Amino acid sequence: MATYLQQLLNGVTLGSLYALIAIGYTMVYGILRLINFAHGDVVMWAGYWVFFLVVLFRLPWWLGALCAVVLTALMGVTIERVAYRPLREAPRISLLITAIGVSFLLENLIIVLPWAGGRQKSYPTPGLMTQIYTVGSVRVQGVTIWVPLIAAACLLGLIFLVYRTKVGRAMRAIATDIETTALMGADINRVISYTFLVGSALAAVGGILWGCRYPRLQWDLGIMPGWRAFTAAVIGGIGNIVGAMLGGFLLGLAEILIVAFLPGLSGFRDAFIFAILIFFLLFRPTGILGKPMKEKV
Amino acid sequence: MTRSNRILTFLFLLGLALFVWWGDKHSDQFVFLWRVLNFGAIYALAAVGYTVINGITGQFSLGPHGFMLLGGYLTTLFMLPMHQKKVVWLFTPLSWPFNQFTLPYSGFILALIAGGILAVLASLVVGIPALRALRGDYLAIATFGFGEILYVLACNFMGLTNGAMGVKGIPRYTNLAWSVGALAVLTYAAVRLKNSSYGRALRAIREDELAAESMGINVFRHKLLAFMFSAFCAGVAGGLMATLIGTITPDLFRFFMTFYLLMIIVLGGLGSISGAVVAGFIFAAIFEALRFVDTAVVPGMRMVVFAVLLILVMLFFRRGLFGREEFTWDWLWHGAKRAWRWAWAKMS
Amino acid sequence: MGENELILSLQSLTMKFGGLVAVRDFSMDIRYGELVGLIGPNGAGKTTIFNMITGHYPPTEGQVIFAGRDITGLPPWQVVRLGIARTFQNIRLCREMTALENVLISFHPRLRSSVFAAILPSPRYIREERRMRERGMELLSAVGLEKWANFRAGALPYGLQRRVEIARALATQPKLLLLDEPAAGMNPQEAQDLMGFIRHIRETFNLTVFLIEHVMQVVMGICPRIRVIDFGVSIAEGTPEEIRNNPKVIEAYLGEEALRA
Ligand SMILES: Nc1ncnc2c1ncn2[C@@H]1O[C@H](COP(=O)(O)OP(=O)(O)OP(=O)(O)O)[C@@H](O)[C@H]1O
Ligand SMILES: [Mg+2]
Repeated sequence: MATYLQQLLNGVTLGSLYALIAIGYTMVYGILRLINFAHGDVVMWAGYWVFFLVVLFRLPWWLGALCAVVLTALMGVTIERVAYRPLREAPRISLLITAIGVSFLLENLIIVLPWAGGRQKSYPTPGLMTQIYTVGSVRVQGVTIWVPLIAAACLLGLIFLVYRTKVGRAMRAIATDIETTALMGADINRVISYTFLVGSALAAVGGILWGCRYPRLQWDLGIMPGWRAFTAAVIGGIGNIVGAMLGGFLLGLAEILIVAFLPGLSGFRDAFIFAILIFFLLFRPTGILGKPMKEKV
Repeated sequence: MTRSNRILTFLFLLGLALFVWWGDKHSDQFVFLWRVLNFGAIYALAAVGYTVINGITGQFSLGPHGFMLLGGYLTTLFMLPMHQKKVVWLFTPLSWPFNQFTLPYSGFILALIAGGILAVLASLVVGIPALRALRGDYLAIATFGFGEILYVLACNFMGLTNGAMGVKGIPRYTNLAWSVGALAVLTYAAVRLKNSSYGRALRAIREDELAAESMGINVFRHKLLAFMFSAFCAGVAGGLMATLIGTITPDLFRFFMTFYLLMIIVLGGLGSISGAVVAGFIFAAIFEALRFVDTAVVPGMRMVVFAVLLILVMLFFRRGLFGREEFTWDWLWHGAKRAWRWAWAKMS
Repeated sequence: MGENELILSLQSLTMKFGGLVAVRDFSMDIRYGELVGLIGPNGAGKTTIFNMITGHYPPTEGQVIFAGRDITGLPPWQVVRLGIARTFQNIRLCREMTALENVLISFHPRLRSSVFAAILPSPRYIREERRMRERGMELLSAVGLEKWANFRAGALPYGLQRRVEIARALATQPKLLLLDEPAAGMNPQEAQDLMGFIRHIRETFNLTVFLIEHVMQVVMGICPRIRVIDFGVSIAEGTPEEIRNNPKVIEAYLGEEALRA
């Protein structure tokens, strides 16, 4: 029983990380119809910002993490401003190619940077996260409790932002119909910047918490979490914020359960993720929540 | 094609053959250049195929690294000498039928073609469902995912691949005759394909899929055709690369390989076969020239340079070197005439 | 085939997009050789009817019978090969290709040589390609475009682009030609010329023509029989004279005038 509960908690932890990261994919896709290849690398950068600020600049952890969120969010906004915005009128594939370029740039910048590069670094995990709590016969680590709580707080905040504020309303309007919204006088560029700001900030929270859960830093650390989160977004119906959260939790749980109970298959874990992704793209491209669309002739 | 153009083409091919023969003969005197040219030809070969599906047909695939991986491993399994097979597959035995035989040098061409065919079969596995249902970035993601799945399989099927440790001691059969020869043959095929009625159908699909379908084109079958062609090129390129380097690991054919190819076709001009060939060689030259930066100065710098280059090309120079045009003798002739007139005007 | 046999029979076609019913219970018969007009205000569902015929939208309900065969739900490329060609309301040419190449695309499905033969190229492929080009040029001449054969289609003036699109449709050797607002964006004189042109090709190529038009006056001149729809529902059918005086039609179009004003 205790193991089940333990695994369930692990699944929820992982799921909330995926959910945080998936939001960025889904929001950007909803608005720009762009699969932001670089999003996973933004997650990775958040971990490194913490490392730079806390280990190299010796900031207190909470302050370092806070600054990391801000810096990562600005990074997301800058990427959009510099690399994606000039291509807004270009064919969508050009945008995807640029995003792939940005992704490689972010990964290799980390390799090149003198303080980060090459070898794996260990992530500064605060004591709160490593502390062991004992409830009855169940022993849980701090991360297992704190990660879902922080994630839930962020996601609630996001839902408030999207459904209860003016910016959120503009975001939803643009996602439905960018041209009409532009005609109605909304400042598209500003709303898109906000979207990247919010998506990257959540990705940053995801990356920082990811580091607490798996405390080692390397240039490629964002790639697979990124793809898993993207898969989660597709499962939930890409463009759908609630769907992305749902997909994240489903995927996290499924992954933990498979690894826990069918350990022989864990070497194929990434293959499974991509198989699920391809399966959904082929047979259920609008996810479990979305409704199908028809191209207008 | 006029008569004089035919003669020019013939002379060019003759010159190329002579150069290749001479280059292979003196390869030990020009190690660096020889290596660059081989890599250039192999990249160009994969890029030619890649631009047929991505540029000409407009169907964005991100999976050529997976097809190269298949071609690379199959060629390796065919060509690796028996004693080397015993050494490499020491702990996990090599699977049947590859533990039974190995091909002599005379079978190299068969091994390359087999690699290409295996890639084509794989392209059917992914292409039949994906090209029917998906386009744009969804197609890109599905093909990318397929490549990643192949990578995971390559890491885990020890009996065929020896897993992440890879295979060493592959006979280095690839030389300019093979790499440039394969490039020449498949480039000819690609150019013919592009200019034929089939190529018109492919271009029509890129420009307006719906219109093409409304004119009776079976869009799915033509996309599949282009995809199979590109997979074949990638498979052969993978086989050549394995037998050029002499070792193969799953990591050799990860996504960065597709990133290189993407750079090449974007730089050459999406949809231009000549562009893919020229940019393939340019890429290999820069890549090898910057190798010292990577090993001596800062590792990873080369990739930073390439990533920035790709972004800059996309932002400011989207038509690439050739746009969608092709090199022709007339094009060269007109260019030369214009340059001559310009120079004449300057002088007088 | 007798004169009175049906080339096309639409039986209770209905098309729903989510909650919106774009076309409701639409039935219509067209005989060989007819020239029929379909008119209706903006958003009435005219294009949707064409899309159901050509297989771009599988109808939610109902059947499309072409030359006695049920073609409901066939994909567009098969429908074309059976003999229904169309043009689009917003011209859909391959803009980067020449006018001639656009026409040649339509010949491609009839090409007999395999792709290997085309790559080699085999003598038969060379013959076929030459023949295709000749026929393409003949067709362009027939629509008065021979001068423009090697121009990029996207660079041609609008009216000529329309003609290229029609030539491209004719190259599929259709029995039935569907034209979706061919006169859109033209001034009255150009529209009149176009209608003359349509009559001309119909006779030359022995076609049945089904024509969508938005502006009533344009079709009145050439279509002996006209069908009117409004909000997806068929409201009238008859000769131009009958249509012009039909109170329901007047109301539908007046409604639109009122909306415009
Ligand atoms: N793919 C689609 N998805 C959703 N709604 C659609 C789609 N295609 C058409 N519609 C809707 O169906 C209705 C009829 O459209 P249709 O294009 O057939 O009108 P039309 O008579 O051709 O009008 P117009 O004169 O403007 O061309 C419109 O309300 C349109 O918005
Ligand atoms: Mg219409």
